[in-house]
Amino acid sequence: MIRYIIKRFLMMIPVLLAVSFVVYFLMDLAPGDIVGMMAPPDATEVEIEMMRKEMGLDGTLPERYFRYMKNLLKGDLGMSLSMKRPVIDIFFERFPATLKLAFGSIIVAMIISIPLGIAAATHHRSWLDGASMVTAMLGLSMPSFWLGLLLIILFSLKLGWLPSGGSDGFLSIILPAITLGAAQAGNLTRITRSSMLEVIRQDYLRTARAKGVSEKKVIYKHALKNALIPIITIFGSTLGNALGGAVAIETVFSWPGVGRLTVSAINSRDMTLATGCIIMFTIFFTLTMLLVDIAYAYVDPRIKAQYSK
Amino acid sequence: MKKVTKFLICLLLISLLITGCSGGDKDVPSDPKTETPSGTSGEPKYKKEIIIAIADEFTTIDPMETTAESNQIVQDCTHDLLTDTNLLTMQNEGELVDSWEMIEPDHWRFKLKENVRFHDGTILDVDDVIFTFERGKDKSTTSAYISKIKDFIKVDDLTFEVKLHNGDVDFNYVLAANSLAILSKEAFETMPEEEAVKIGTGPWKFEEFVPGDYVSLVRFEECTLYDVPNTERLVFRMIPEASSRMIALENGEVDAIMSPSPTDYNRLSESSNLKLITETGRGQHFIGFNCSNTNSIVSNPEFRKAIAHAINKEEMVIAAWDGYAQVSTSIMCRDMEYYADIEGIPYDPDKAKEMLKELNAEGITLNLITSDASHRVKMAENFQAQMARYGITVNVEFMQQAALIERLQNDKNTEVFVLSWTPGMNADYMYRNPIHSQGGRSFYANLNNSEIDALIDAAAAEVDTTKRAQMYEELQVRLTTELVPWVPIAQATLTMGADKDVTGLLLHPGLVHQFKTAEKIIN
Repeated sequence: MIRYIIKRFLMMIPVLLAVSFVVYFLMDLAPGDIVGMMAPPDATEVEIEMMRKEMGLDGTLPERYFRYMKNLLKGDLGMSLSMKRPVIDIFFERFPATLKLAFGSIIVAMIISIPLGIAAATHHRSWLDGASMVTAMLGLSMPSFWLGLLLIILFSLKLGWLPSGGSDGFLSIILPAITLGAAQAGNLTRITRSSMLEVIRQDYLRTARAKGVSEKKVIYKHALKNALIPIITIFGSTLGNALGGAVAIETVFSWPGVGRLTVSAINSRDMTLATGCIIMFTIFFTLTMLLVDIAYAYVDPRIKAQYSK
Repeated sequence: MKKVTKFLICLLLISLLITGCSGGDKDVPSDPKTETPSGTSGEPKYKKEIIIAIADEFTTIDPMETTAESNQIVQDCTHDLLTDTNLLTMQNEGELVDSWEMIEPDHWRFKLKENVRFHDGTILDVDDVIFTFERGKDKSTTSAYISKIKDFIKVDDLTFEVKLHNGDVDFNYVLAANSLAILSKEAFETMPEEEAVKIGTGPWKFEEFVPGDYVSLVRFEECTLYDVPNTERLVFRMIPEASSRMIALENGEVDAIMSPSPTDYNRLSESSNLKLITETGRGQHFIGFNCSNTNSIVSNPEFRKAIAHAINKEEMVIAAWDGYAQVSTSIMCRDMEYYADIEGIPYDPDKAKEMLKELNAEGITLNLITSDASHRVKMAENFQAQMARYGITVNVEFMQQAALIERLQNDKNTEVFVLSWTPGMNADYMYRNPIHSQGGRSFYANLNNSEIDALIDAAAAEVDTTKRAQMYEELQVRLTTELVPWVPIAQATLTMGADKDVTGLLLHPGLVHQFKTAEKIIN
């Protein structure tokens, strides 16, 4: 198991190298020059060059990339070109908000999807199954941006129950978490349903029923526990997506997270900040996936046995 | 399988812990609805806290690190300049400076106001000005201004003289650049830099900054330069989405919003609780031509004049701003000093057709580039539609602002572009950067006209204001009706939404809006 974990850690290195390479070069290829945007209109060419040097943007692209990577290996993500502060500091100022939102949305998704998925599977091909799947499809297909605005209008403007944005305390996370969680709930409901359907048909459940175990016990004690294993895998990727894909939600709800920061860095051509944020996202995503794999091995003895070989 | 249940329970608990615990105890802006009024009985009672929603992110309080408007509106509350524009009179006046004298165009004397107190309790003197200028020498936002100075002479604690490399009769306007806000020398000697930059002389003191969320200021009780504000706390909350800003205003979560969506203008002006604050902006929106592109017909001034006759500006204003803009007749912006009310080139479709026929320009194709900003997209599309009436096909290409600027600076084949120019300071600034061939990086029209260059230089150096006015009028007329590097379309209206009872929100047509005196009387 330890060997497996070390192997997975080592595999992160080429992933991070590839991501840094692609992001850095793509950012450079994008038209637009941050120095040109930031300099006063009457700045002379000499002053522009001075700024370029000050920002570490002098030299050829490979030179700049190697300089960047050299610093990255020392744990230095560089200075933000637009904010003139270390990228790592800026990232970690905003990351807790993103993490809060990601976990909040996971809670919402789990609360909605697990009961709904079980109900759909246990009432297979009934109206309840149909209704659950329609609800799941709605959650999946509704644009987050639109759903967010509708929720704000209803709960904030009309009813006045919740704040429309910001991150002041517990109440302010409710609407963004529901908005982000709705799409994840759609996906998780479908997975829970199909996983439960597969388990329900297993022989050991038929045996349990034949032995006179109550239907409730069969579903919740025997079937659900086994059906939850694939959900853990999906949970990992859902969390990863929630960490990186909440830009629209962060914008609508003025949530001070990293998604908004990254988009703003890309728009302002702040190469070091954008690259730094994406590298940090990659690290967190791969770490999350690693944790999920470890958890998967922990809950399923067959997987653990496989690693032990 | 109990492990699965344990794992999920642990996960749920961790999630609840993360979402529930963090952030709850930080000093966030309090709910405006629960505010208690300040003031004693008989006196007007003011709301304790005013919250203004801004669209872009605030990133730094250091005036020398940024030229972004979202930072400068906050810095304007905490820091002061030597001179600034009085938004009520639109004149350049002393802010920290009491008086000034132009001894020669390259030799100026300034006297600071007495007893101006910094937030750290120290009193402003010439050493603070010298320190600020020294610090700004190497900063990209200020070096261009400071490099104009050859010698800085301290006469006494409150008086200083500057000698310039070249004469500049408008040097007082240079000192109104926001990045030249005066900092406390002593603060930098006694505090870490990140704390010292927060110390200014403004009526508001920096309190707290939560990145991506808000920045808050508290009133400076010992302020000697201004009356102490009636509001106790001023908060700038970052809400990037226009519809979310509007909802927050309607909901009473904020007291004012910057840049409301044009679709909300009617709602704001018709509401009984809210108001739409408007001010004609100084930004000149125009259709520009690359006058040096000799491979294109746009290099011919007669063709440019024909296009100017062909454009129905009223129609374009409706299309791009829903009518919230003032049609321009001159290249020069209306509210600027030395603006002359000239007729310009009137809309005359028959004359345009005749001129285009003479130039064999019917049926030609033009390539236009612009950014993806909504009003520019609409201007470009309307231009395309209007030109189609004259048999001219216009290919339009939209791109991000950064990409557009790069194309305009480097692509010699550019023909037509939609852009705007906001001259922040004086009349010279209006022409020098975009029109003078040696003026700067905004020279996208590539006019390259030595007579015009000489006229811009002569007007800038002219001490006699009557002669100067004549020169600027000549520039206006020649550029607008003879050379036509741009067809000026309109100056768009700047807008802000606010609670009906909030006062003291001043929109600056071209520079930084001022919220120093924002307040709301409550009954």
